[in-house]
Amino acid sequence: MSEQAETGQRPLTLEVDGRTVPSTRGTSVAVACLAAADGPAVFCGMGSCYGCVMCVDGVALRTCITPVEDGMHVTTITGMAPSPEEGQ
Amino acid sequence: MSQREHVEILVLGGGPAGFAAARPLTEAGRDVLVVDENPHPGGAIGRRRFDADASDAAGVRFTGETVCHGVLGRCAVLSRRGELRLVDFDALIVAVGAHELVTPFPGSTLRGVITCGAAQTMLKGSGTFPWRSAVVAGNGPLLLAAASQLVDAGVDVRALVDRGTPTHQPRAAVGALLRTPHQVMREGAGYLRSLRRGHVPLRWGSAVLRVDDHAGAVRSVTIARLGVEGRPDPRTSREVHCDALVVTDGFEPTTDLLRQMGARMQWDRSQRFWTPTRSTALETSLPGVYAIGDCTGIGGHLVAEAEGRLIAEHLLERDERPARRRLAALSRFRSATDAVYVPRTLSERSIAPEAIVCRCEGVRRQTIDEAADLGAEAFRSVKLMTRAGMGICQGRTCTCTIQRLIADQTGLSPTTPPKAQFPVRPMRIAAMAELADVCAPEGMNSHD
Repeated sequence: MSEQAETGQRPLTLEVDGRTVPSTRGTSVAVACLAAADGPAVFCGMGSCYGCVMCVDGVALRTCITPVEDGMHVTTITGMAPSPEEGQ
Repeated sequence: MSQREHVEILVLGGGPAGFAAARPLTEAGRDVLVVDENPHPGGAIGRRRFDADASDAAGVRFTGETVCHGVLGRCAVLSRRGELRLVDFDALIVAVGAHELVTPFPGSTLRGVITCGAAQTMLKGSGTFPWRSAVVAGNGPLLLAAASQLVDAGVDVRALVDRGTPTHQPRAAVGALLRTPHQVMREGAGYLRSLRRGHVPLRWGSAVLRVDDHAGAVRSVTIARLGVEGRPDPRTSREVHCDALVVTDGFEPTTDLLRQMGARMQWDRSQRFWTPTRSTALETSLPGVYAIGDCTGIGGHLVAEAEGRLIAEHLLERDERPARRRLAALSRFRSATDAVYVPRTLSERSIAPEAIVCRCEGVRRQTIDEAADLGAEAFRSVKLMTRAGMGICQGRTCTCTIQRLIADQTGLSPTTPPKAQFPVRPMRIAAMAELADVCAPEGMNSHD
């Protein structure tokens, strides 16, 4: 853990709605998702508006103030919708 | 199972105010704990990279990523990543800061529209900005800071749009300059140099008319000069293509916790937001509950630090006079800048009917106006009729704007602060169930 912290820009990956997304240590989960694709609708960026809430390893968190960790599982609101095959 | 502990002094908020209080108290041997929602101490102004060492808290006991859901009696209900943590305290220092206010416009909920604070968090926290170009718009001194930081980070800033003009209050401007601390002057000069280097066009007396999108993300921002009643005049409009719009219209003290605890509040007529009433010892109407920094009125980090030092001297029963003198000098500067930055006309009047005011529930200005026309004089009625302020942010983002709109329509200042019920921040059902096991049920509604 501390070894990783010292390496600064060390690349890591998150899994967002089942897709592998590359990022680097020292980034927020929201910015990692925005840089890789559509990302959440960040607005206040400081934990007040809850526009960036996503499910991170099973807990709903404000991703604008949550640092990325290697191997995090992130589910967006889109990722929570049933797939067309699953029906309504 | 949840953690439960007792501390002598609990400090909510690890920004300049909280730390200025906690450091001397800790050094004097008091049992102090500081908690903050962010991973690191420093607050919004001292934001660090997200991979910075979180244990570096100047000897102060600090826990980051911790949410305070509310205070029940003398017990703060906290959680970290969903895990419940209860902290009983003898004294509580609330130093939770402020949040940004943005006057809504058509397109203000699009992806790529963010506050100045969000832009700064991205730059300082993550060391990156996910868009290539931006327009910076709104009102107040923060626009200059945000625009210059974006230029320094290599972002193409295509315009700085301020509703106010620096020249329409020349007397106030000179007065403010004479009272400006050197530190602030240096910061300001640095911002202006960056803006010149980035060739950023400055559009004073103008505002955002609307934002257009491509697939839900910002494509262009249309700005216009302010005309009748402070509304952007479409005849003067110009479209600026960009990927992001960075906006701010100033700040509002974050008072949800104080209101949930039942602290007495007052409506600040000039700033048009709620602040807690305080004694000269910075104590709220609740014994042993102190409030300092931007959550009591927007003074910035220098005032916040001075109040933190004052509260520490007070609790340690030391000489308070140096801290009081510093605070008095800073408050003269504060009222001078407030005079400069009063927008030419009240910005809420310029909100377009189709603009979404409550972002969580998607309530537009025209819906709120209709509710107000039906006789909804108080915010509570508008809330019940339209669902505005009932979403996941629990009204933090829109309540102040709606109260100002109602005040404009009725010509009356609001008389009742918006109610804040426990929990003031969303809580896991599991944590709530755990809490119910340890708390007497009547504790939940003790001040209702």
